[in-house]
Amino acid sequence: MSRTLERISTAILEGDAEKSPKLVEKALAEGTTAKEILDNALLAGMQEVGVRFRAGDMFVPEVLMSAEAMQEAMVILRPVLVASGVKLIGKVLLGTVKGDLHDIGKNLVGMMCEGAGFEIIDIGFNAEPEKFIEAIKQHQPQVVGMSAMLTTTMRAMGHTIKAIEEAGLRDTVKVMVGGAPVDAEFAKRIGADGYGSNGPAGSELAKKFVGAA
Amino acid sequence: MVSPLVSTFEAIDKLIFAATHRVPLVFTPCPIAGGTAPITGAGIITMGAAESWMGLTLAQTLQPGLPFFMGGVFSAMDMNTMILAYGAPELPLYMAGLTELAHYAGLPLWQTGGCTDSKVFDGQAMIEGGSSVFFSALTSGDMCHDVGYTESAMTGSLFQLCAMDEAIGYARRIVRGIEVNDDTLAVSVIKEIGPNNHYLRHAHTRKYYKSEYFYPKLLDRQDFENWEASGSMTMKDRTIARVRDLLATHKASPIKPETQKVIEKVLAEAEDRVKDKK
Repeated sequence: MSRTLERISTAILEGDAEKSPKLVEKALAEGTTAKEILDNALLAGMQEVGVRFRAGDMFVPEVLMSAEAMQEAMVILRPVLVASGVKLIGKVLLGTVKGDLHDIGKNLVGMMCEGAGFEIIDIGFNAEPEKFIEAIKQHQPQVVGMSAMLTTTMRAMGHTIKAIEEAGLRDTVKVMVGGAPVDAEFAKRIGADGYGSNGPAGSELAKKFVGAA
Repeated sequence: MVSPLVSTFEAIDKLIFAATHRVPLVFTPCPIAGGTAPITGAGIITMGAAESWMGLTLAQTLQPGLPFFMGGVFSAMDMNTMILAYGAPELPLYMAGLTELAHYAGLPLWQTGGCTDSKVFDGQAMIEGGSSVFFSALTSGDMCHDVGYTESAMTGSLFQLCAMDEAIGYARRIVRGIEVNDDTLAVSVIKEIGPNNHYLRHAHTRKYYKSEYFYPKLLDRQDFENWEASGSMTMKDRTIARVRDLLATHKASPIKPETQKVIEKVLAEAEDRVKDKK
């Protein structure tokens, strides 16, 4: 691996959003392919972030800085990747369900998924089932993530999955759910494909769904 | 409240109902430091107080003089698990700061304590719950809630509640303090008993032994032999036994039959409203 790729990985790990895009530009100028930069520098860096987070050596504010460094790097790299015909890892559609205004967890999942290389479509909070369906039709994501923080609103996740089913779109997406009162058993009961207990777990799940983990 | 700085329709709806009907009000934000509030203790208290006082302003506009409690659960977001930490030392600390601010403003405060992030009845649950109970008592909040919450407020536990009842008794004894007057100083008793004697039989002892001490229901003070002979029960065993006993034998103080009827009607209406929802 070239010295520049190593430096990109380090910039990601250290959450340096100023350095990471400049280093990506440098690597491109040195003739490294966009795919190599993505796999061997950016995703490798985020992989290490995940390892350190799970070991308790990094905390969420640092993980978010790394995700930001990744996002800034992707601003430079994405057009080059697209132009060279490289397929991105996938699209994740996110929303906090009807009746719920608590969206901080959903936003964390979004940042982590973006850090893992996904494109994010965020339909915000208090999102009606119809809004999910419309967005699935428009953006054709591989993964749909929904969240709720209250025992009174968590049922809306089941209603949303049912509505997606009735719209004939259930087979086109994997559904992951999360939020304070949610657990794996609840996820199973309402017909979701998976449950993540926090932001990093959400992005791991999304990666698994698209066969990238 | 949905921190930062937003209130839901339901919360404001209830506030307006309470204010209109002269029902005393607890208006309670639940900001999480580092997540939905500033990471610093001073910052979360500043923001959370502003949220409470938004409710105060609205309530007093609708019903001047309406009794009002500031409230809340002010604690830390754990930067690894992202939970709202109910057992963190920051909870009693921030609540103490908030209590001082509320009392400075002349308002009563709804304290928090007796809760834990532990999933089971264990040492962690007792350290966290007991510490916040004691600190809540020291800061003299005017009510206290979330006693018995475990698993970061995901589960209410009767065992935790029962053990915290003991912690509350313990804490209350401490904050009751040491009464100092001629009789409690007992100088004449000390002279009377003199050296090489004992106080057990003295009228002074009989007069005070009940009120001076806290008598635990769950904390064991037997010697080893007697403890072993009475079944070698741990704090957990004794708590479970007491909860089962209370559940089996406790009779709630009766309420008026007409009140009971109204409660049943309200419950039936609520059941009817949600029965088709899954």
